[in-house]
Amino acid sequence: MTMAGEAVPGAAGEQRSIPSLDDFLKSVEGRAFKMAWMATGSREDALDIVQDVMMAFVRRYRRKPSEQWRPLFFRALDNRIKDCFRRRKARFRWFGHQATASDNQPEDPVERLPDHNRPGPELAGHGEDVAEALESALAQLPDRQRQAFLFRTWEGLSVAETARVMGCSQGSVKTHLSRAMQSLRQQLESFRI
Amino acid sequence: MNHADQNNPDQAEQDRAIEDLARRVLDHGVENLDGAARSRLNRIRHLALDEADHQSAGRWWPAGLAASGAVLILAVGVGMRSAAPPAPDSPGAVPGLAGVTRADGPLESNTALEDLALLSSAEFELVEDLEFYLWLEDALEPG
Repeated sequence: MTMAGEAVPGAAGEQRSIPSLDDFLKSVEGRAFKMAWMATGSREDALDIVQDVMMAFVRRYRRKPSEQWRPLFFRALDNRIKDCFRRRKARFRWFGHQATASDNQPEDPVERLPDHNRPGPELAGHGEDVAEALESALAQLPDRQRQAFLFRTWEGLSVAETARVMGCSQGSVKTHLSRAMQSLRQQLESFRI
Repeated sequence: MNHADQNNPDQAEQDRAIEDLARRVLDHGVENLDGAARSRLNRIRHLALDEADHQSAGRWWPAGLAASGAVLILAVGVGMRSAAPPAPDSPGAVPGLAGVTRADGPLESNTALEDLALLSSAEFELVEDLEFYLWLEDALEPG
């Protein structure tokens, strides 16, 4: 069991550094934000979710071995996204409108700056259209299908790990993945990928 | 990673191409987040690291205040709800609201209590289950 910040000998005797908490959070913050944004459809809700997950993570899990951080973080993220949906439903039942964290927020002038979140040269051959179509198709997937696809394909978790992180069976993960791929194939059919 | 029919090599190849494209598009999106998002994420991370450095039991009172505020907002909301006319709702347009209908009459007491507990809680459900920890220990055991 290794703790963050330690240096341990590698196979050839070299020192292999264990990621610091800062390094770890840097490595997951952008991915967590994108996942939460796709899930909730709200940029502000997504940022709030990342904040809650990071704060809860450092309070409760920072002393866990660093090898456990990634599954713990994404499990907490998945829980927080589900929690966001439950709160929306509860708010809707009580208040009857679809409040999000962006309600009543003054516009941030920084947000009007150019967004460089565009396909770069590495997408040559596919182009901007297919990148936008893919993001749109992912956003339209049912929540559990999208989470399964992102954990499995983007995070590279195994089916067993994805099932554990999502709190469901491996069979359910396979079903979610199969349906997600079927939907993505249909949505991207015109691009002849 | 192949979700396609094993007897259909064209589909398997197409799935691999879609997965590869998804990884590149998503990675590129993260690497090129706009300045506002990047700045907020930096602030969040520093806040979290500061919390890690200065964590103490006495610093939990803000969560209690937030919970009290949520209860107050809920109480006001109940009053508004009984006075406001029904809104033209389309919950399916918002993620997480598909299939939810707004009750125009009194809410079921169980649902109301659950909603009250949910909306007044500052903490979300975390990884509490022992089974998950045990699996983590096994899954990450070297060799």
